Amino acid sequence: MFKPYTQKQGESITIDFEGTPIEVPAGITVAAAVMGPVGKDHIRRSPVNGEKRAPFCFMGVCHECLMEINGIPDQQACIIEVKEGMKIKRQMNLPGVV
Amino acid sequence: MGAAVGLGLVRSGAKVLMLDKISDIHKASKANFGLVWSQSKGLGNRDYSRFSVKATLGFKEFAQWIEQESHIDLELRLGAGLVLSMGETEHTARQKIIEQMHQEAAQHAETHPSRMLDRTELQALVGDAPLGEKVSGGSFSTIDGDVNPLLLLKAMRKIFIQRGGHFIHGCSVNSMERKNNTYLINTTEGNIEVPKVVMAAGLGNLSLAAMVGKKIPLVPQKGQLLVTQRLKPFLPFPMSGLRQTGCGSVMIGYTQENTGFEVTTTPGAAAQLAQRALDIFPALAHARVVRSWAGLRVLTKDGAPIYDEIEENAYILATHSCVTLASVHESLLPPWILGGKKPDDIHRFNLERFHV
Amino acid sequence: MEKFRDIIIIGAGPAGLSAAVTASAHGLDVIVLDDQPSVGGQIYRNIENAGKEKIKLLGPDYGRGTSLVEQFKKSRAHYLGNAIVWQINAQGNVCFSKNGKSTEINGRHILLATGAMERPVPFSGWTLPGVMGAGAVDANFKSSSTIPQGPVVLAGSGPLLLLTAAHLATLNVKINAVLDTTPLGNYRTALPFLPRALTRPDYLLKGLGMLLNLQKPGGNYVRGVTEYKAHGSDTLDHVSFKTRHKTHHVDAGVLLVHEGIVPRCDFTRQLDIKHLWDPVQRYWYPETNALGNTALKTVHVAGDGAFVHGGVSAQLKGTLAAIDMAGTLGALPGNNRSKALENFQNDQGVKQSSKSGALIRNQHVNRLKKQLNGELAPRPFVDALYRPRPHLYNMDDDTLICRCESVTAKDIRQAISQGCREPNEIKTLTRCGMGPCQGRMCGMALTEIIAESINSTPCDLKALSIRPPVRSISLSELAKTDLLEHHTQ
Repeated sequence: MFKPYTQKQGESITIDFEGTPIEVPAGITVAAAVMGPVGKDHIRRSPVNGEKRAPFCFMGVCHECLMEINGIPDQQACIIEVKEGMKIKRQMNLPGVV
Repeated sequence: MGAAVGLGLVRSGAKVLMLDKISDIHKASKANFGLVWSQSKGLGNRDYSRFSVKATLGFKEFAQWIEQESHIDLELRLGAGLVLSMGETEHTARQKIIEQMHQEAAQHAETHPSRMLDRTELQALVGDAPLGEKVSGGSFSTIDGDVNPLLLLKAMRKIFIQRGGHFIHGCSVNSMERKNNTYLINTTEGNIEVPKVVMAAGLGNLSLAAMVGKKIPLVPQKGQLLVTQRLKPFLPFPMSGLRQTGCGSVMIGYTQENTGFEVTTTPGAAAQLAQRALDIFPALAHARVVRSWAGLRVLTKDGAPIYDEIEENAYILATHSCVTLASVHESLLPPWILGGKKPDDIHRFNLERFHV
Repeated sequence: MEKFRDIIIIGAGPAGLSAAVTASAHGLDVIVLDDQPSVGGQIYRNIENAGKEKIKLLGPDYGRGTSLVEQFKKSRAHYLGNAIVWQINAQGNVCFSKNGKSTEINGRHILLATGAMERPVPFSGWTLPGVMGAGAVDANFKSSSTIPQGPVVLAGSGPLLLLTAAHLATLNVKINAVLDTTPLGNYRTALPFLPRALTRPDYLLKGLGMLLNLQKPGGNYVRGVTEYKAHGSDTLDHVSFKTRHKTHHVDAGVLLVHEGIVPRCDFTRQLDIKHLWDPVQRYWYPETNALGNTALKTVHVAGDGAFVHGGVSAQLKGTLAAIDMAGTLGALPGNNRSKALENFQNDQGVKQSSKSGALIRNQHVNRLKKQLNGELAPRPFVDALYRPRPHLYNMDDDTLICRCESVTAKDIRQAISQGCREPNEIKTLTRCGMGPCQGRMCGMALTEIIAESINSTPCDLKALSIRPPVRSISLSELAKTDLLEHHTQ
């Protein structure tokens, strides 16, 4: 959905996306990483009807970009920058308690 | 209260005009937790305990015809309700209360529908979600439960209108006086002349009663609540202060604050409520709170209702727990208001008992 | 962490930053809280990390932010990024979350500078991955140096639509189609406001330039579009749109939509401040005086969050609000001119004189107001030209209004037919507005649908009530909030 503007390589870091290490440019948002270098076509599934969802506003309003980051669910990926070793997971279901 | 009584009145064939003012403070119905509860009511007051049990037992049938006529699903669950005890002290104290309620019931050859559960029994009932360390168990009732209070209100109002009741939303009473066996009421929507007046405005009754020169012993008590986002179903029955609604969101309540006529929600209370929820189910740690709100409970001095005729043909109805009591409010109060004998169940729920 | 400040500013966009610079120059203790990872708000997003090349590409509208941010960094104002405010009150208590920990602090004054958002207008297929606000282009390019992968289609109306198209062209992103929904009649009805707008020819020429650029041969610019829909099995595949009497289709991998910009009123609603309705741009905005003061003496609003007037105006409004707060807090000097004020005025190029502090302040305020009026001159024309089309909210029954809870227009219309006319009541019945976004994306549409059904306007209806937490918070974090009451001696 998104690609880098320039092929010029800046500093890059490695994130853990659902168990897979992926190299991404340092300083980008988690949402940009998932919709860009990680190459996914959705960032979560709706807990109500299971539909694929992707970020809409990219500025912290729409709450479509909710992801699990370093074990904490419901983080707004569009306003969080990637960090070395960050563990990122898509949320595909209604959160459980058990 | 008003909706249930108004509904019962139109069902009895009376011509009823219901006035509902807009208020942030006087809408206890908007902050109700939704419990249909009998086990905690009426310690030291057999009448009230009996009344609550009667209301709870009658709720199923009541809800059935309400749902049928309104086509609104009330999300009613009956058959299990728990008052938690956190820690041994609380558990022992709770046990004493339950024993006393059983004794008081036994003195009248009656039973009280509750029993104590220890932690193991409670965990077995709850299922997979692990209980927090502080949970010692609680008192459990096989007749209590919960309902969606906002849908209940909506359904009762809907049927009220369907059956010929007249409902004016956003109408306030400015003054009331009695003249020649009629009540002349001046409202924000115009003047009304009626033979009978029923004051069912919760804390708003204070100013309504004052209009006819009467004082009513009601006090406000603030309760704050939290609600989370939807979660996978994990809690099959309501607990005191924690219940999971039909869509999966968890309601967490409630404080008991004596701060007068105000309904602010404070981070301090929210933090306390959040901690209690985590003490009960630590696995709720990541559940997200999406809203908090507060309401004022309508409290009488002894916690039991007031149903009384304060002037000829002017009735005052005030109590908390109007969700639980909806069924009996709808069936028992209207015949009395329409001139019948005051039922034995509620005979002692009068104003006189406060005059020492 | 210091718990008590003179001013807490929420939002680090142009309004918040300029207010911080001004207030701290007057010797006030200021802290700026912002939920983004770096300062600049949306318009100057990530400008601290923007290299020369990026600033050159985006032009002076972006580059202008560098000096403001430099001033901010040089000032004594404090700043916390990635700080999400979730509750405030009229006594100046502010609760915010950062790094999974929540803290309550207090400010003698609060400045709300949370800016604006794109007007959320539901349409058929808008929840498909690939559909996003036009602002997503700048947001992603500025923060992450990424560009959308085609085929790219733009749809909607408003200056930001034109600006986004211009940026995409600069970034060499091919645009398959630009579907302009500006009603052709708007060009006529906006005419009365043109004379005043002509006092700012620079502004008008810029807009005209962007429009002409779009209409170059080979560009697929379509005027008078009345409706558009997104299609795809589970992600965006193509867009259909209507002009006059025909329906057309165009392939799309990314659909960028824009139907105007509206103030974000989360906190002003939480505080129960009175809001006014703008019938031209169809949005609510908080009631303030000319210096941004609300009816609550200690709460000001500045920037696009007060009314959408753009970045330069936001900066001026921020400065004005700061001066007003400084005056109330007694930080404006009387007859003794403080060094701070002198330095500040020197920076502004103001000649020092022996006049009293109050007179100097008034002169400064009047100068700012004059500057602001200059900025606002073209706005009535622009607002009228790009006023939302009449049937903007007349969406199909199966359109999802509430994205979070998947509530359709049909669900809402059903609730209305059952006698509900109040947004909060419909919310209870349908769950519209009860999800994680807390009604931000659906609240306006909900009110408009009710208004349409009962032949009324949103200004006669109550808006969705906003209660804390204004941003959701986990139970564990909430339970451990570091409250002010924990710190009393």
